[in-house]
Amino acid sequence: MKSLLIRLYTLSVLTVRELLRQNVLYLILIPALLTLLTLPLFANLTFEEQIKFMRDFCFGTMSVFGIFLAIIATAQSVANDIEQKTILTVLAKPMGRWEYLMGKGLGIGFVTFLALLILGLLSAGLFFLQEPKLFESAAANATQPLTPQDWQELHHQLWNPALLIAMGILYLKLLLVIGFTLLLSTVASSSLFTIFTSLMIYMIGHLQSTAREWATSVDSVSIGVKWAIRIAAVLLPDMSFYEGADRILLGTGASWMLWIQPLSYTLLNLAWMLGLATWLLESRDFR
Amino acid sequence: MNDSLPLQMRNVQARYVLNWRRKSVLALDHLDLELKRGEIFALLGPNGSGKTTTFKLILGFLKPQQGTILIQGESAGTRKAREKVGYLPENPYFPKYLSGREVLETYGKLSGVSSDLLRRRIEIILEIAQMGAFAEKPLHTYSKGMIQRVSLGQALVHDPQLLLLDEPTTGLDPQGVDAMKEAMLRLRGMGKTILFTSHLMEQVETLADRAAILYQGKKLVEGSMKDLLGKTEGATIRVKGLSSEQLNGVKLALKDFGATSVEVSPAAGTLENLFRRYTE
Repeated sequence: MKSLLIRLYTLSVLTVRELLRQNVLYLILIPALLTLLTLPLFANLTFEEQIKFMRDFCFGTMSVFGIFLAIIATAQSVANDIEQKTILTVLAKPMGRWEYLMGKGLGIGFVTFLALLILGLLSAGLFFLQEPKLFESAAANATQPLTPQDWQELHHQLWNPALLIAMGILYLKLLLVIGFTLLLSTVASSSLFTIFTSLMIYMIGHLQSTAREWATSVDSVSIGVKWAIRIAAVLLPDMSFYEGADRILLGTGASWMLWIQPLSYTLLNLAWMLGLATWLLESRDFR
Repeated sequence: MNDSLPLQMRNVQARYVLNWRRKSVLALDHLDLELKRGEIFALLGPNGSGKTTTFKLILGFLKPQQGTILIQGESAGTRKAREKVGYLPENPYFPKYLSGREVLETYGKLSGVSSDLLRRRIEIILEIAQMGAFAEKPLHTYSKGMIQRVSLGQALVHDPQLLLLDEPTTGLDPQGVDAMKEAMLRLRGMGKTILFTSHLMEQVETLADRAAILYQGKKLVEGSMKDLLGKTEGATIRVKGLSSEQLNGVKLALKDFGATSVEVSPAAGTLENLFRRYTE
C-alpha cells in the first residue's frame, strides 16, 4: 500500500513538474489573469447589477480558462507521452497501467485546483478593491439612509459564502473533463485530436439536456434522432449536473446540498472512466 | 522450465494487426530463446527481423499469440516480471524538463526503491554510466550520448537481473561507444544478464558471449561467438610491402598449395581509427 502511494505521488509530482516547467499552466493562467484584470474597466451599474456582473465575469473567466487548462494539460501530458513514447520507459517499470493514469489524473487535478485558487484569490482581491465604490453607489442610490442591517445585507451580497460552493461545483466539472480527456488520450493518435474531441464532448455535454427536452416536447422528431439523443445521454457526460453553480450565481439557490449531486455524478463517472481507460491502455499494443 | 534462468522464451509467436479488418503480419515465428545468468547475448538481424518485437514481448507491451515467456519464472508483462527487467529503448524519450538525476530519482521511486537505497544506488549508477558531470543539467541540453547514459541509468535503477538494451550504441561517437561497452562488460562482471541488439557486427564480436540471428521473425542460427565465428570458411592473410606482381605470385603459390579461391584487395585504415586519432 505504501509503495502504491509513493508511485502515485511520484507520478503526480512528475505531472505537476511537467505542466509547470513546460509552461502549460502559465500559458493559460496569464491570459485568464489579464482577462480578470479588465474587470474594473466595465460600466458602473446599480449595486445589484454590478455585483451580478462581477460574479458572472469572474466565474465565467474561471470556467472558460479552467476548461481549456483541464483539456490541454491532460492532452499535453498523457497523449504526448503516448505519441512520443515516453510512456514506454514508465510502463517498463513494475507498476500497473491504472496507476499511471491515476497518477497523471491526480497531478492534473492538482494543477487545475491551483489555477482555480489563483483565479479565485485574484477575483476576491478585485471584489475587495471595488467594495468601497460599490457601497458608496449603494448609499447614494438609496431612498433613505442605510441601517446596519442593510449594510450587513449588502456585505453578504458581495461576500456570499455560497460562491465557494459554486467554485467547488466548477472544480468537480473540471475533474470530469480531465476524466474524459484522459480516457480519450488512451485511444487517440495525437494530442491535437484529443483536444478537439474533448472540446466537442464538452459542448455536447452542455447541449444534452436541451436536446432531450426538445426531443420530448416536439412530436415531429424522428425515432432515429430520439435514439441518437438517448445514446448520447448514456455515453457522453451530462453537464446539466453542474447547473447548481449557475443557480448560486443567479441567487436562486445556495445550499451545501447542491454539492451532493455533482459530487456523486463526478465520482461515479470518474470510476468507470478510469476503469475503461485502464482496460484500453492494457489492451493497447505499443509498437 | 527452469525458474532461475533470467529469460526463457518457448515457441513464441507474435503478429501485428494491420487494420480494422484484422489483417495481420507475422512479426515473430516460434522463437525459442534461453539466457544464462551473467552472459551478454546479442540479438542480430536486419530491420524488421523481430528484434524490438522480442523486447516488447518480454516487457509485456505486446502479447504473444502463442508460446510462453518467463523472466526468472515470472510470466512476462506481470509486475513481478518487470521488477527483474531493465529496459533501454532504441530511441529513449524522457521528460525533457527533468535533469538526469531527477530522471533516476523518478524512475527509481516508480520502481518501488526506498529513498535511502535509491540515494546510494544513484551515486553508483552515476559512476557506472559516467554521467556525474552533467547529472544536474536538464535533459534538453543533453547530447545523444548523454541521453543514452541516462537511459542506461534508469534501466539499472531498480537493480534488475536482466537488461534489455535495444541498439545501445546507435548514434554514439566512438568515445560514447567505448563508455557503453565498458559499462556493459562491468555489468556482466556484476552478474547481470544482458540481451542487446546491434547492427554493428564488430561490436557484437567483442562484446557478446552468445548471439542469435533473426530474419523475418525466424531464428536462423544461435550459438557462442566462438562456435558461430568458427563456422565461417576461409582465412585472412595480411601482407605489406609487396608489388602487384609479387602479390600475383603469392596468389599463384596459394593455388599451388590447393586453395580453391584466393581474393586480393588493398587493405585500408578504418575511419573509426582516423576519427579516434584526431579526437582523443
